[in-house]
Amino acid sequence: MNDFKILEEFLSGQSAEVGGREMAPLSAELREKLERLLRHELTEDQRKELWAEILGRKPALELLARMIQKNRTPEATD
Amino acid sequence: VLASPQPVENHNEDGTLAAKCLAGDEEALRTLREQHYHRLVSVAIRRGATATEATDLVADVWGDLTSPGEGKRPLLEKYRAQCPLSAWLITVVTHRFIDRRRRERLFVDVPAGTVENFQPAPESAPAESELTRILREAVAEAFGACDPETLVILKLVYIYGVSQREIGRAWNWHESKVSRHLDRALGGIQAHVLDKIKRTDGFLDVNWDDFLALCQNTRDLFGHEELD
Repeated sequence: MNDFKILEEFLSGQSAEVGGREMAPLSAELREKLERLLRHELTEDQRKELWAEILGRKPALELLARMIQKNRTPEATD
Repeated sequence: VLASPQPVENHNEDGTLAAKCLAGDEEALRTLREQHYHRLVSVAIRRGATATEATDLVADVWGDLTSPGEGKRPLLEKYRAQCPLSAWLITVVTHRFIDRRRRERLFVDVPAGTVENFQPAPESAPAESELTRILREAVAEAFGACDPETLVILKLVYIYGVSQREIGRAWNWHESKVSRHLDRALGGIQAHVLDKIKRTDGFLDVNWDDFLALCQNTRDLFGHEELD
C-alpha cells in the first residue's frame, strides 16, 4: 500500500460516519464543470472553486477519475 | 469514507500464539517473550525513553498483556490478528510511552498542593486514544497545508489509480512534471507530519516508517469504540 493511501485510510477511518455532503448525489452542474475542466475551459478561479467543491466528496472524485480514465478501454476510444 | 473497504489481512500464526498465551500456555508465553520482549525495550528507547524507563514500561505492558490487575481485561484480548503481532506490540508500547510522558507533564504542570487530588485516568478511558489523536492531528494538519488541487491529484493517483500519464493529459502537463509535483507533495506531507509530532510531543522520536506503521496498527489496537 502506498504512503498516501495509508494516511488517507487512517484519516478516513477516524470519521465516525460519512457526511451527507460527501455522499450527496452529484448535480448536473458539477458534472458539467468536470467536463469543462477536462476540456481545459475553466479559468483559474473556477478551477479553485471546483477543487474546494470536490475535495472530500467520494462520488465526485470517482467520477473525475472515471472521466480521466475513459480512454483506457478500447470501446471508450471509439 | 473515501477508500474502498480493504480485505482484512490475517496473521493467523500470531493470532494463535496470542490465543495460547491468553489460555496460559507456558510454551507460548515463553515464545512470545523470546520473540518480542527485548525488541520492545529497544523500540521504547528509540522512541525517546531512557533505558530505565523503557525497561519499566515494557515490564508494565508485559504484565497487562495476559495478567492485568484486578478488574481489567488482558490487553492481548484486543489483538485481532489484523496486523503482525510485533507491529501491534510496538504500537501498544508507543502509546504507553506517550501516555506516561503526558502524565508526567501533567504532574509538573499541576499547581502545588493539588497533586493529592489528581486522579489518573482509568486504563480504557480516552487517554487510551492519545496516540490516535496525535497521529490524526498530524495527518489532518499536513493534508490541510496541502493546496486543494494537489490533494485532488494525490487522491486521483494514489486512491483511484489514475496514472501519472493520464493526469498529465488531463492537466496539460508533461508526465515528468506530474511526477515531480507528486514527489514534492508527498515530501511536504511527510515533513509536515514529522514536524507536527516534534512540535506537539517533542519527547516522541518517530521516523516516517514508524509513523506509517503506527497509522496502520492503531486502528487494530483501539478500534472505533474508544475514539473520542
